[in-house]
Amino acid sequence: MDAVVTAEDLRKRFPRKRVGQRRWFPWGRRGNGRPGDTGRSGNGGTGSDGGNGGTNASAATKAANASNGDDGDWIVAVDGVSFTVQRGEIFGLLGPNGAGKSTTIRMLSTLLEPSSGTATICGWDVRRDPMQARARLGVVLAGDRSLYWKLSGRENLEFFATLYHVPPGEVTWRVNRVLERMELADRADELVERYSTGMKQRLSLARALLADPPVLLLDEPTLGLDPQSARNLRELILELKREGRAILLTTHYMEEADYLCDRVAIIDHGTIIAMDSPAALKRRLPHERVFRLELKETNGALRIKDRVPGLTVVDERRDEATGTVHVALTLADPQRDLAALWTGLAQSGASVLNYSVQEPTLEDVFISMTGRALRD
Amino acid sequence: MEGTTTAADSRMVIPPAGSTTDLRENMRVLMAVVVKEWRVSWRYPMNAVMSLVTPVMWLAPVYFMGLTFSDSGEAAGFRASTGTGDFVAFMVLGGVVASYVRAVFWRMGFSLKEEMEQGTLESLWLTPNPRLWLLVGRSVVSVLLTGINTVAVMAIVYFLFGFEMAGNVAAALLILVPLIIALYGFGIAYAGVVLYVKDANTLTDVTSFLVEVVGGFNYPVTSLPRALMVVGLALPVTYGVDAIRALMLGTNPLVPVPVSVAVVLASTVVFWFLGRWVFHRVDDRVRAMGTLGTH
Repeated sequence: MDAVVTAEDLRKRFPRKRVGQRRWFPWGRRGNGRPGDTGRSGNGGTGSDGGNGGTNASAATKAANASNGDDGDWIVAVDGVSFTVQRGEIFGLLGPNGAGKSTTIRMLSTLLEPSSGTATICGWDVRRDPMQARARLGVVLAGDRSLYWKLSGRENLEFFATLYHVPPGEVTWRVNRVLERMELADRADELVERYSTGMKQRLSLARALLADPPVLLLDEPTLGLDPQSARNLRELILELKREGRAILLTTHYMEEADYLCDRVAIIDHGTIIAMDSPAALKRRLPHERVFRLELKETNGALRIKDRVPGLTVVDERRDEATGTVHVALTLADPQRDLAALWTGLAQSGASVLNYSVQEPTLEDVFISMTGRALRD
Repeated sequence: MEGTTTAADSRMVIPPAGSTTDLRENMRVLMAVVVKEWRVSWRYPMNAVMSLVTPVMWLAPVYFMGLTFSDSGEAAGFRASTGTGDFVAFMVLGGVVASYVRAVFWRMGFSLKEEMEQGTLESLWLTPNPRLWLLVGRSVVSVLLTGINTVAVMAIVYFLFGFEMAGNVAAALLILVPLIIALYGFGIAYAGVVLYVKDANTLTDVTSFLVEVVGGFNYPVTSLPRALMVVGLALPVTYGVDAIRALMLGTNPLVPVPVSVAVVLASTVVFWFLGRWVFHRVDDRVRAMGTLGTH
C-alpha cells in the first residue's frame, strides 16, 4: 500500500515565553529549535542561562528538564515522531492533553514549521512544497470557531470551495453534495452562529471534503459533541476511510481510537511510546482480562497488592464524592489468584460494590506504560 | 513518489505545480475574499451607518467654528495661509485621505488579528493559496468600503455645509490612486506587525493620531511647529494630500506637484516591497513560534 502521509523524526520545540519577555521585531536572527540553535535566538532566549554555555549547574538543570520535554529556554512539544499513514487507513494519535498530538497535526498541515525532521503528504514535503501539500489535505481543527459565524453554512462552503480551487462550474454541485452528505442541506442558508456544536463540526468536515482530498487530518473531531452526534460522526469517518482516504486523527477518547483506528500511536510528552493496531497494543498487557472493582473502604487501608502475589493494579482512582475506590487490576493466574483476591479484600476491610471482568482498553495500555491515566 | 497523482486523486482539485497558483486563480481567490468580506461587513449594519455619521459629527463643530472666523463664507486668514478660502472643501479633501489612513491603521492593521480572534485565520492559512493574496483581498475590500464611505460622507457634507471643487478631478485621482496603493502596502506591513505583537491597540491609536496631526489633513502642514512640521514632511502622505488640494482647490503647494507625484510613486514601490518583506518574515516567524492561533 502507498504511504500517503509520512512523518520522519519530527521534532518541534517552542521558546519558553516568560512574563515580561517579548521580542518586538520578527526579522531578527531566527531560532526554531534547529540543531545548533542557541537559546538566545528565540523569543524566550534572553533568559539567564540561554545559550551562553551556562554553568555546570544550569547544564545539569537543563538535562534534567529535557527528560520532561523541557530544556530550559525551550519546551519540547514533539520529539522524534515517525509514522506513516496508508491509503484507506485510519491512524490515530492517542494521548492526554498536551502530549503533542495537535502540534503534530499542525506541522503536517503546514501551520507550524517543524524544528527538524521531515513530513510529506502524497510525496510533497510540507516545508519545501507547502501549497502542494495543503492542496491534498482536508483538515478539521479542534474547536468550533474555524468558520465564519456571520455567514451561512452555504456561504462558508462556497467561499472555501473557491479557496480550494474547485472549478467555478462545480462549486454549487460540490457544496450541495457535501451539505447533503453531512445532513446540513435543510439548514444550509442559516447563519452558522445559529448552528449547534455538532452542526459546526459537520460543516468543518464538509469544508475539508470540498476538494475531495486523499488525506484527512482530524484534530479531536468529536470533542464537545453529544453522544449521538459523536456516533454519527464516527460512522462518517469510517465511510470516508472506505473511500480510500488516509485519515490521521487525534483523540484522547480511548474508545474512539479503539473503534475507529486501524493503527494507533500512543503519544506522551511529545514522544511515541507505542504504535500498533489497537488489538496488538492490548495484547501487550501481561494478562488478557481486566478485573474492575468498585470498593467501599472501611478502614482506609486497602493493601490487596500485598496479599495477592499475581496481582497488578492497572488503575486506581478514588471518588471523593461517593467515598468509593475504583480499581482495575489483572491477575497472573485468575483461577488461583481470584480466591486470594476476595480473601485479601475481606481482610482489608473493603466491601465490593461492583465487580466486572472486561477486555483491556487502550487506556489500560496507556496506564500500564506511563503510570498515568489519559485524563491526568 | 514526489508530485505524483494517483487514481484516488482523480476527483480532487490540484493546483499547478510550483510555489504559486496562476494569476487567474489568484484573482478568483481575491474576489472570493472580497465577496466574503463584503457580506460580513453588511451583516453589521449599525457599523455601516455609524461610519457615515461619525465623520459628519467630527466635522460639524469645526464647520461652525470656522463660520465664526469667516465673512460671507470666506475665511480671509485661511486663504492667506493656504490659497483657498473654502475651508470646508480643504478639510473634506484632507478627510478623504485621512479616511484611508485610518482604514489602513485600523481595518488593515487589525485584519489578520480579527481573523485570529474569530478563529478563522488558521482555516484560511490551510488553503493552498499564497497567504499574501488573502491579505491583498482584504485590502481591496477595505479600499472599496472606505471609498463608498468617503463618497457618501462627501455627499452628506455637501448637502449640509456646501463646498466647491472646480479643479482637475482626473489629475487628482491619478495622485490619490497610487497614494492609496502606497498606504495599503504599508498596511500589509502593519498587519504583519500587529499579527506578531498582537496587543497593538495603543500603538495604532497613537501612530494613527500622530499621522493625522502632522500630515496636514485638516490644516496646512506649514501651521505646525517646526519639529512637527519636519515629521510631517517626512511622510509621503503629506505630499499626496497637498498635491490633491493644489489640483482641486488651487492651494499653494508645499513643493511643485510633479515632485509630490514622484514622492507618492516612490513610496508606492517602497511600501509594497516593505509590506511583502515584513509580512513574509512575520508569517515565517509565527509558524516557527506556534503563535498563529494565539492572541
